[in-house]
This record gives sequence, structure tokens and C-alpha cells, in this order.
Amino acid sequence: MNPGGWLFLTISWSFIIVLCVYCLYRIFSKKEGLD
Amino acid sequence: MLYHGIKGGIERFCGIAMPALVIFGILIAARVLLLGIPDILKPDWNALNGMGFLWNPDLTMLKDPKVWLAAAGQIFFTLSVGIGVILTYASYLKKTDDVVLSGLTAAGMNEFAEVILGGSIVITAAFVFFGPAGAQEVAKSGSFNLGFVTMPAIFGKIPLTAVFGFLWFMMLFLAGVTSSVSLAQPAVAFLEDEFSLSRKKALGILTVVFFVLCQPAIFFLGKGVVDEMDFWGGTFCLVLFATIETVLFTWVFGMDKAWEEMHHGAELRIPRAYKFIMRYVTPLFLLVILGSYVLSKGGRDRILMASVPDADKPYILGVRLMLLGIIAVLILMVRNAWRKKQGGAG
Repeated sequence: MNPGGWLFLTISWSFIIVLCVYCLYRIFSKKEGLD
Repeated sequence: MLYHGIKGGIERFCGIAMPALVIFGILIAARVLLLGIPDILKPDWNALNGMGFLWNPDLTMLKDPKVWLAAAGQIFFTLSVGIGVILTYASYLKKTDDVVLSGLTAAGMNEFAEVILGGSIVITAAFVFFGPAGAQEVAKSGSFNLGFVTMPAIFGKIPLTAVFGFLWFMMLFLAGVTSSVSLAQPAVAFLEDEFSLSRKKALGILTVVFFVLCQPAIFFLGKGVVDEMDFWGGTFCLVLFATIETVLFTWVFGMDKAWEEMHHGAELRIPRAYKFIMRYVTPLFLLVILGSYVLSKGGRDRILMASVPDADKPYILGVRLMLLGIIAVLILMVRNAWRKKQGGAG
């Protein structure tokens, strides 16, 4: 894999993982708040 | 599943199927990424180079309108935009439900499944076992061959074939069923709501319709029928309908009203710049994608069936007439339902 490939992979995977973690955190913290 | 409705059927099934699908996906992706170098005579055929095959950028491809259309069609298909699924599900939400967080989560999880998991499995595995030329052939062979021919051939070459074969086909089954019920739900809801049919009756009619309409895909698979249906139904029309939906939402319904609706009950605030993006950039961008594809050589060849063998042309034409017929019937049904409603209101 060339440096361009690494760059695209790192940016995409990091963005997606951070987005998923953030959304799941917001959802579960919201549910706990309602209880 | 559909008979038991959204909550009792689809939601209950997806509550089990989706986590199972993600776990199976993680297990298979981990196995593929740990394949190492199966053939010591070909040290370049490894998982890292397989990932490179997928991720190394080739910016010249950005000039090809087909790539833009395929990318737009792919994201609309996986997010169920442009086919009425999201509209149908949204109609069951309460006014105060948080659509911003739900939408963002759905988009994030979708990308996790298709980019991180999906992107690590098929092409990477094909590269490790068949090399760059083989992986290219595999990528061109279409999704049916990828799922049902290439992957079983790959699993046949690694230990625990039966275990990974089971995980793979179970994952395909769960993905297929969860998508199918979602795709069928708008039609069920339409017949129930607009023609006052019972769910049992609506499902009975749709079962017959679906059974008849899927026969060409089974009997004429080798004639390019599935590819043709997939292009028009799963790519081109999705982008076209999503463009129409965007225009209706932001111009006809109104951007200010739409903005207010989106933020009812939402904890997150969408950056205000998206007002401009949704109203001007998105429809214009989609229109440019559609227009440049239709005017490109690839688009003209597709429309005029230039690359279709003469023997297959009647089948391809038949598919197009069938799709046009379905659209015509749907327009008539919507018109009748609309008139009925207007008559009732009057």
C-alpha cells in the first residue's frame, strides 16, 4: 500500500470510528438520562 | 416479519440480526486481514497489498462520470434514500423523536459496515489468493459472483472452511433479509393506508407481484438482466429520485420549515451552512452527476445498449419495458389514491 493509500485509509477509518463512537455515546447517555 | 409490522416484526428481527451481522463481519474481516502470505512464491499477494489495491488513490478516475454516479447510487442505496424506505420509516416517528442523531448514527454505522468491514473482506481476500489481475476480474464480475462464487472459492483455501462459509452465508442472508423487508415495507404501507387493505391482503398481493417480477432475474441471469435491473433500479433511478426528493424537501416544502422539522426534539444542531448546501449544492451536484453521465460516452453506450451482445438485446429491452411498466402502474395507483383522498376531503 502506498502512502496515499495509507492516508485515505487512516482518514476514512478514523472519521467513521469516531463518528460511530460519538453517536452511540450520545444515544446511550440520552437513554440513561430518560430513565 | 412484515405481517407482524414495524415494531413486532422488522424491529424485533433487526434487533437480533444487525448485531449478529456486525459480529460475523468483524470475525471474517479479522480472518482476511490475518491471512498473511498463503503462497510463499508470491510474497506480494498479501493482505496489506490487498488493502492497497482498494485504497491507493487513482485520481484520474474522478474524471469518469460513471464513478460519480456509481458512488452516489451506492450511498443512496445503502442509506435507503430515494426508494421510499426512509420516508416510510420516518412516517412512524413521533414529532419529538431525534431525527438528527438517528440519521447521523445510521450513516455512521452504515459506513462502518460497508467501508471498514465490507472493504476489508472481499477484494482484499481476492487479491491475496488471485493476485492483482484476478482481483480486478473479481471486482468487475458483479456482486452476485463476488458473494456466491469468489468468496466460497476463497474459504475453500483456508482452514475451518465450513465455519467461515457458514458465517459468510449467514451474514449475506441477514443482510439480504433485513434489506428486503425494508424495501417491501413502503409497498405494504401504501396498500394498507391508501387502499384500506388489511395487512394480510396487502402482503398476499405483494407476494404474488414480487414472485412474478423476480422470475426474469432467475431465468435470464446470464443475459445481463440482473445487471440491467441493478443499474436502473439500484443506481440511476436512486440518484434521480433522491434529486427529486431533495428539490421537493428544500424548495417545495421549504428550507425554513424543513429546518424547523428536523430540529424538533433534536439534541444536536446541524451547522447552518447545511441550509445552503441542502438547498443549492446538493441538487445542483446531483443534477451535474446525472447530466454528465447521460452525456458521456459510457452513459450513451449504456442507454443505446452499445456493449450488449445482439442476442441479449431483447432481454435488456424487456427489462426496461418492465421497469417502465412498474413506474407507470405506480403513478396510476398514486393518482387514484390522491383522487380518493381529495374526494374524501371534499
